Amino acid sequence: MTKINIARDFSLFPGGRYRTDGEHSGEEFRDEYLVPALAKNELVQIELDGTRGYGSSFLEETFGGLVRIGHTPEDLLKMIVLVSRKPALVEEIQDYINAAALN
Amino acid sequence: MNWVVLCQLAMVPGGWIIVHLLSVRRERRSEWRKLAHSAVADVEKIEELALGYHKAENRNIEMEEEILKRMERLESKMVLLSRTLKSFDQNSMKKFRRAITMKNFQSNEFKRQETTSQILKNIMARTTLIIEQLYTAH
Repeated sequence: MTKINIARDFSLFPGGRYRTDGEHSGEEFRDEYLVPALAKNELVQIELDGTRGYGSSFLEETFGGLVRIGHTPEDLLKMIVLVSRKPALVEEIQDYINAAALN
Repeated sequence: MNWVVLCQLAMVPGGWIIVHLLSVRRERRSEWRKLAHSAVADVEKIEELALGYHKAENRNIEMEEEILKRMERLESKMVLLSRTLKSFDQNSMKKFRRAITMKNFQSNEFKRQETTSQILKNIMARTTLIIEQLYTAH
């Protein structure tokens, strides 16, 4: 299992959607952390807590973006384990994964 | 001493224990309701900052940080509240976050929003919903 703690491994201050929006974007996190982790074909545990908070655009680009680049929601929901004390945050991410498949 | 008298004697401390437990329970719920009402103040502050942010001429990165930090703290409070105030729906938190931070936020395409903009209307609508939830949670 690959474990990624966003606050420790990526940034305490997750940014906006795209690299052009500034540092620590959802695009950057997806492409440089999640895509390589998923390519190993093992479970990816993502610890969400500990940052100063997430914008929805970061979350949507990170996770909805995985669907747009070819992953199916079913595979992602099986392979990604989201860890957080905030159920609303986990639900929001799951919403983006499911919604991206419909668009 | 017959059993009738014994029962009557037992009712005194028994009654006292029940009243005491109910009183403790009432006090606890009152504390939780105070926490819910303090969360209302947090929500209103975030709304004020968010509306100011989206109506500004230019993107304000410091304001983005402030808004996200306050939302994170609010969410922690909501998690605590939802454990006790069972009627509290956490959906309202994710919709509130989405209304403020999905569009025109932390973006290089930032544009000043007019009062009639859908983004501002959504923020106000989601704020109202979450406040209603907090006031009516039990």
